[in-house]
Amino acid sequence: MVSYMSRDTSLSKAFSDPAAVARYAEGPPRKVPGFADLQRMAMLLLSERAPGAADILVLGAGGGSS
Amino acid sequence: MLDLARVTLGSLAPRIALLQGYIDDAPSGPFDGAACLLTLHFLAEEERRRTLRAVRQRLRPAARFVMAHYSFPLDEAGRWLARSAAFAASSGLDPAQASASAAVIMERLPILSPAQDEALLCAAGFSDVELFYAGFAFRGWVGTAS
Repeated sequence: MVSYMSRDTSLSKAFSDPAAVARYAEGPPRKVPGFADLQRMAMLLLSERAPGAADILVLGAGGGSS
Repeated sequence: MLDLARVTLGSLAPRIALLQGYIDDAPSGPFDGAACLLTLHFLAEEERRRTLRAVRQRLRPAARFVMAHYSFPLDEAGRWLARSAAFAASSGLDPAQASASAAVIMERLPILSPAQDEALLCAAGFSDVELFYAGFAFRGWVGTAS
């Protein structure tokens, strides 16, 4: 499995500020309805076509929840 | 950011390679599937189109791709972002802060309409494009590498 994440815009400051990064992990569950289930549905949809031991590309690692 | 991912992953870390960069920095694969959650709304339309093609090129035929991000009818942007701000406030965020961040989202993110997002997926070489998730201002689709 591969993940990567980077922004080359002014947003990159938010992604490299340790305090902002620490707060990031609690942001999405409060802002995105059903955040945990969204992750779970993504996993189930990928499983429809991926073998048990699969290589999955994750674009945008976020805080590691994907 | 990747340091946070490392901490979150804990004992799963050995199964995952973390790379900092853009889609062109990812290995060529082929991968058995791909996901891009809450990320593509940062990319303007042309860069999003190019990125989706590059994801498609890294997938085996028939592999699934899942994406979800801000996507709503642009002529109803204010209403959908207000609903998302209300959701954040009901989750415990300061209401004033939630409203302010809705304004920032509208001003700074190159959000596309659901129709535009679906068209980009199809143009990038994905078939059987289906909406699987909708949560106020967020939408999610699954497609199959064709």
